Amino acid sequence: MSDDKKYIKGDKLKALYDQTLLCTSCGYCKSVCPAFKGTLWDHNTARSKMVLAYGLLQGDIPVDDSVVQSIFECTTCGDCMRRCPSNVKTVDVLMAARQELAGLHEVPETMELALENIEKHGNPQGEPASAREEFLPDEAKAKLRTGGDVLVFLGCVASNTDMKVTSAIFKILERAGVSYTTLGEKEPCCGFLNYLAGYDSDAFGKGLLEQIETLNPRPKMVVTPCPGCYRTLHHIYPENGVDLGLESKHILEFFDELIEKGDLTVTKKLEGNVLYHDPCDLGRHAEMYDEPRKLLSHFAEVKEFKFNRDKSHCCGGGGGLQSTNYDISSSMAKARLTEANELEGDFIVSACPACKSMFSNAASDFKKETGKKFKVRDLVEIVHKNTKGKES
Amino acid sequence: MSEEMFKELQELLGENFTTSTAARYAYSSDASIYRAMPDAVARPMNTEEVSKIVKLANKYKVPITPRGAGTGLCGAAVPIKGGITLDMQAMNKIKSITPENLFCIVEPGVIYDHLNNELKSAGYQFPGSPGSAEAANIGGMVSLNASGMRAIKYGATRDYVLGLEVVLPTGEIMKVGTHTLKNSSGYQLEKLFVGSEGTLGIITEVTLKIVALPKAVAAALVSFDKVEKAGQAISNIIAHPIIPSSMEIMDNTCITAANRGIDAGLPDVPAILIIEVDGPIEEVGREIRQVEEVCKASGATEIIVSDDKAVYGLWHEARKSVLPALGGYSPELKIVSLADDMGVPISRVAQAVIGFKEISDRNKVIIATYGHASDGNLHTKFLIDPSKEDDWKRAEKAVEEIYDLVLSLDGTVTGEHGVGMAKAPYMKKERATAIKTMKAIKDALDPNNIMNPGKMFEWESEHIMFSLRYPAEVNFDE
Ligand SMILES: Cc1cc2nc3c(=O)[nH]c(=O)nc-3n(C[C@H](O)[C@H](O)[C@H](O)COP(=O)(O)OP(=O)(O)OC[C@H]3O[C@@H](n4cnc5c(N)ncnc54)[C@H](O)[C@@H]3O)c2cc1C
Ligand code: SF4
Ligand code: SF4
Repeated sequence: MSDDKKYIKGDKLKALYDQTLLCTSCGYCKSVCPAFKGTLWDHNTARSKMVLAYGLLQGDIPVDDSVVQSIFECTTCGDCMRRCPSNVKTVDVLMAARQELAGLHEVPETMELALENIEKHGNPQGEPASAREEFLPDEAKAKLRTGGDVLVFLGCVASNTDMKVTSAIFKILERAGVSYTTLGEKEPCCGFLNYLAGYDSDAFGKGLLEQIETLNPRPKMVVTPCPGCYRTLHHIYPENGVDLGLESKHILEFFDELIEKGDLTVTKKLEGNVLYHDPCDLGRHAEMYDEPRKLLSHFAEVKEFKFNRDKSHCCGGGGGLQSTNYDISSSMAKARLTEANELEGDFIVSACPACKSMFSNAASDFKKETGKKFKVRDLVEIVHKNTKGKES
Repeated sequence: MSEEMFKELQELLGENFTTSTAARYAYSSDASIYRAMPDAVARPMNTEEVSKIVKLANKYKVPITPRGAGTGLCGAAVPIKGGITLDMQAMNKIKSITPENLFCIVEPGVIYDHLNNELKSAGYQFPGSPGSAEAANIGGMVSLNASGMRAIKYGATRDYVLGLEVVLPTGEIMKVGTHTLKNSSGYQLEKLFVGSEGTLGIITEVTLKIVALPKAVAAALVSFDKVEKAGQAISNIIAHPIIPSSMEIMDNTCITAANRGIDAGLPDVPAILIIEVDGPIEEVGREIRQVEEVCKASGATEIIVSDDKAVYGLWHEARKSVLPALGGYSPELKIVSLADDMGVPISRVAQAVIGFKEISDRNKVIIATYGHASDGNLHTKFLIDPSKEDDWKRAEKAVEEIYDLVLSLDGTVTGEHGVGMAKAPYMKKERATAIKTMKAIKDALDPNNIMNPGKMFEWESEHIMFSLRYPAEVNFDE
């Protein structure tokens, strides 16, 4: 960053100025904010983000590395917004603050790197596009870009990091006799990370729409195992005027329909205490609480974390925090496992590849430290392991 | 701050010392109306570090403002003279809980609710119950002599402080009080630091008395068609005699705000009382029936009684949400913390509430009143357009009138939130004969005046609207 002081333009935050005044600085949000709990610094609390947003808007403070760091040291989990008794739109304010910073190209370096990877390779991990096809089972490879009723949008995290979930999805679809297709190396990044970084959303969804137009027959539905992609496809694209012309669902909703229709039959139940963890992007941000519990209840009696549904604690993987501050982010995952341990949980089930990855890493440390072994699973894997199709 | 001092602090604290823009701005305000940026924020991990920081500040004559959770409402933690803000939140260990001794020993950064969660498993509590319980620190509570709705029965923080470890403004570490429930060994210096608002030293350890959790609790939600009748009921209950564990009053402005803020479902009437009794099961049953009878005789229009925590818990939650929820009362108006915490003799609560309403009407400022009616501690919240100088001026006039009224009723300008800056000129009026002694104590302990300078009796103006954290400047010389 250069030495010249930079100030925000204010065009994004201005509309939320009133929200910064509405905040009474009561501090209630400190009690739930994982970014504060992880660092104990006041400048990382939701409250301080309101204070900093006000300071930026008033021109009281310039944009520098510390301001960028504070605005980004946040999982966008939204728990502050739930707790706030004055109904301050905290996440809207901090997202608008990120947009202001992005307008000045002031984004944390690690996040910038992931965005460069998206630009160059089409995914934040920097994998070659062809890697998206590596984990696909042969049956799915045969259906690449063929068209079909259902388009499977895997998302960058599942495609590039979770072979088990990726292959399980297609095995289930095959088993249930679903007409599907997937884009493989042509699957674009949904743009959620760009959105979280505050970048303009003009290009959002256009790349995917182009790809959908090449499919014949044109799918009627797109399903994804990733809550971030789901939020983007289901909410953020339409908010930015992009209509994909098909229904969008989280894959768990679709799998539940398959069970209800009898296309999938439950073969086994899980043994042990099964805890469901609400991913922030699926829970607080998309308000999908009942659906995953309903699906999971086919396989187990669902046990709840003490803080569940809209009060769920973040896994630490949200908001790009993993790239901006790995230490806080991993401490959140560990804290969630400690909660699970107190409840004598055996399985920690989520519906998000990022949550699974956070918990899996934390679980191996937890095992080393305490000897306790958790089975961390995505709902997709549970469905895969414990169902059969009509004919099998 | 000199380069030398900066280097020494950085060497001492490493990452726990910062002069970053984000930190300085975030630490420039608390929940009061003020903003002033510190030059640096330092975060000690133990008493020795605190002592070293203070020695440096004393050597270089740089102000230090201690800070807990920053939820104070009077600007006590706002560094009005700059210097170092000392963030005590990382000193957050519960050192011991010994029910057999009836005390616990904690570091100042322990959060009130966290301590009580731990105490609960032993069947005990520290019953201060401030509205800010989920964030406020024990150090901040001691420094402001905080309390809450249960003060009528359980007292204030002052009544629980058995001993303290304090770093004096010279850096010397001093132990005051004892690890016993009582002592008569000399000046009760531990009490001197209660309510000292960080002006006499830094609290690094607190020995707190604890009390057993009650066996049973019951509560009543009582509606009145007139504030006066609610006031009469309060006096009648105390005179009966019934000592409830809490008795909260809310006026209609507060009721509306709580209903909007957290969907509390409170009755839409001119005033309500939320009355709680606790103790042995049989006694609680008997007392809540007496409460019902007295309220009925005092003209209550509706009384709902419950011993179900889910039910009365929501009433308390509603009461707790008032302060922040008032912020959403009307789109243009914002809640500002002014004249937030007056105390009057219990029998004068109704007189005060009615007086506040008249002051509100006269000055055309919306003032919401609620509070711990049972101990005479009343809170008002002002709703103004904080970008308008005129609104601030009208508010200040109303504030002055409120304090004049309170003092004429033989009350105090602050029952629990402290003085800081927001009440400084009025506290000087209230404590006119004590200021000289307070100043002498301050001079003796802090010869270089480095500890939280410019507050309380050091506040120089008769006005309070300076250095606001809002987009308005208030000019008084016309
Ligand atoms: C929504 C809301 C509700 C509230 N309800 C109540 C209530 O019911 N009752 C009540 O009493 N208060 C209430 N308050 C006010 C406030 O929360 C309390 O006074 C609380 O005790 C302040 O604690 P803190 O940790 O936030 O202190 P801060 O605001 O950080 O600091 C307060 C003062 O203590 C000093 N200080 C802090 N730590 C130390 C230390 N270790 N050594 C020396 N000095 C120190 C500071 O310098 C400052 O002068 C409320 C506030 C809010 C926002
Ligand atoms: S809970 Fe809401 S009003 Fe309170 S400090 Fe946080 S954002 Fe501000
Ligand atoms: S979104 Fe979550 S991490 Fe971010 S400020 Fe709010 S509570 Fe903290």
